[in-house]
Amino acid sequence: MKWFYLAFKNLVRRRVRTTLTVLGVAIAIAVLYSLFQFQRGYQSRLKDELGALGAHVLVVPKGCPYEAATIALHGGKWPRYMDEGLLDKVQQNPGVAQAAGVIMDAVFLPDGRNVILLGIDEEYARLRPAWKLTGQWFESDSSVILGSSMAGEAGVGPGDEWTIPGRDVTLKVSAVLERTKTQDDGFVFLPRRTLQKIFGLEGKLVTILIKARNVDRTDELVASLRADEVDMNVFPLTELLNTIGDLMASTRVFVSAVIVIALIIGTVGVLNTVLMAVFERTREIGMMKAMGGSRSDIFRLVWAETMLTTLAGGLVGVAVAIASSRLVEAFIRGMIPFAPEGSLIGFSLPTLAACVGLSLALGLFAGFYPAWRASGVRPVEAIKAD
Amino acid sequence: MLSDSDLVTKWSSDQVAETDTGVLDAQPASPLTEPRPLLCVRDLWRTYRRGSEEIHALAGVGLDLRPGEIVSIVGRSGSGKTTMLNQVGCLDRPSSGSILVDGTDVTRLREKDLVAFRRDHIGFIFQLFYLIPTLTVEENIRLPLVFARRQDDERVDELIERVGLTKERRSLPKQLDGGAMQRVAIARALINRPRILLADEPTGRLEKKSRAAVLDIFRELATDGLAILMATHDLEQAGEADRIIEFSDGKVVRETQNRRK
Ligand SMILES: Nc1ncnc2c1ncn2[C@@H]1O[C@H](COP(=O)(O)OP(=O)(O)OP(=O)(O)O)[C@@H](O)[C@H]1O
Ligand SMILES: [Mg+2]
Repeated sequence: MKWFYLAFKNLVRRRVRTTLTVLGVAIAIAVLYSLFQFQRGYQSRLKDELGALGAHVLVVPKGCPYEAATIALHGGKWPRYMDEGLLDKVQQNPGVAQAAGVIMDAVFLPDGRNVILLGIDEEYARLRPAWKLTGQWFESDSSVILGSSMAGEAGVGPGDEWTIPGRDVTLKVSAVLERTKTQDDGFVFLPRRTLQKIFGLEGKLVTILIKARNVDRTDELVASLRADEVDMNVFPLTELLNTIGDLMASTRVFVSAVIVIALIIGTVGVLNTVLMAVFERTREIGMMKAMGGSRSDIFRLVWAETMLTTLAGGLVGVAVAIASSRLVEAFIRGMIPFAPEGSLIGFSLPTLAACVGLSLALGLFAGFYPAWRASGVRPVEAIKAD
Repeated sequence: MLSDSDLVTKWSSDQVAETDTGVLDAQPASPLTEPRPLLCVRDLWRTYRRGSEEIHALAGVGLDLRPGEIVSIVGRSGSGKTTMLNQVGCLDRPSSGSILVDGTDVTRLREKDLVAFRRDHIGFIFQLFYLIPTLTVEENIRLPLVFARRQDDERVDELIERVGLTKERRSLPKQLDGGAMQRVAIARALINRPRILLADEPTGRLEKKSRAAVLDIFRELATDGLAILMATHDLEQAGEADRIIEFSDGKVVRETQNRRK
């Protein structure tokens, strides 16, 4: 028979109360786990996505930089355009290794979803070395390459014909892009000139993706591009990462406040429960002292009880967080401007360890005072017959 | 209803030979072949302060207890019986005087040593049993072993058999009657093999049959050398003792030796 067994047996005496306390801790820990995991998932997904972009610097037309950056990453209807002539200028910059001009537009399906079309050239493909095509690169002006999920939905493959929804334009599928697990899977790629012609955007671009000759000197490249031309916004993608990161950081302050409050409420709840349990058992504690229990024995026992409570709360909390991750994710996605694809809140051993560690720390903290009170019970007072 | 002193007198006239011990520091008369006392209390005082008033719960008590002896303390409510047991049991500190348990003056022990000393030398049972409701009979009995950080399965088995709870070993306290609960408490008090058992009104809450069972166990334990000191209102129980000590206002006013022994 050990301390934790005794502690456990004490806890099951008041099942309802113990359960409620455990749930209180569980909720705090579940919130913590979800938010913490989300932050982690968000950061790493964001990096992956920017890595998949294959570019170091992004050039977009003048306008709201966040909006522009978000659309550049996610695709969509473009509010502004820049002159195609800028592409030559950019390509002549000595710091530029490759530059791909992109034009973008979208058409809407009857069900309200949209299909995003990108007008590209070989330069764009070179920025995506990971691309694998089933079929051929554009064979003519009326060729089209479909992202894998796009092709799947349309039920077409290489050699088939594909019509732009809502437009009377039929193109020949020259290739299907193998699954990349990025945004590209949902896109439709056309030769740039073709797209410009279909949508009446001749001579226009929405973005230029640039690969720097020397990644470490991206800042210099950005400065020189900015000096060249006033009609464009130049973004190093590292900065974009930071910008989105800053945005997240400001929400993080709010989130941290919520967590701290949840933890304080949890701690006070546990403290209150254990203290009540100690008062109720004053006589029994007196008996234990008469039976040879020392101050530190009693302290240990009550502390063990508290830790068991919070540990159980921690484990339940993590389980709840993982079980409800889809729901929570959907909720958070609705609140932030840019969320990468894929599952963000998943199982993670370090986060689990951190949460369990925190729930133990909470127990250590909340259990101290009740344990101290219990250890000070004087057996003579406690066991006086009533 | 008879007063406490009436009870003692009644017993004295019927079944016990009264010996006026007079000065308590003197060796109490005993027909036994005097083994060395396990417990020697000398001139013990315990004074409580209530505002400016001083209450002498114990006012110069002396007492000896030998191995194998059962001694009852009787007296009116408030006469100091519980206070006496608390001092001997190292649960409280006397104002002055000495308590020698097996040669150690426990009044001089430091708090930390006192806990260990109490654990190893003294067993306690109370009017209320204070069993832990979620632990089985066996687990309740083992509880003090946890504090002593020892394993002693043999002792557990031996005591369970001795108090007659072999069948109830895995029962929970709520499944037992009061007498059985007190027998669990006795086994628990003795698990660390103390040589002295202190019992404060051990049968106060029990009906007649259970009382007799507890007393039988006491007698058996005493035969094996355990010294038992109990405070009681119970006339029958007091009569079962080898000696009866009557308290009044914190003093020993009479000591009677039971002839049957
Ligand atoms: N903590 C205390 N503070 C003040 N006075 C106390 C305290 N404990 C006991 N007393 C007093 O000491 C005296 C002896 O009390 P004690 O409990 O020892 O009597 P008792 O013989 O056990 O009585 P009972 O038969 O009712 O159990 C009483 O007058 C009591 O009021
Ligand atoms: Mg009493």
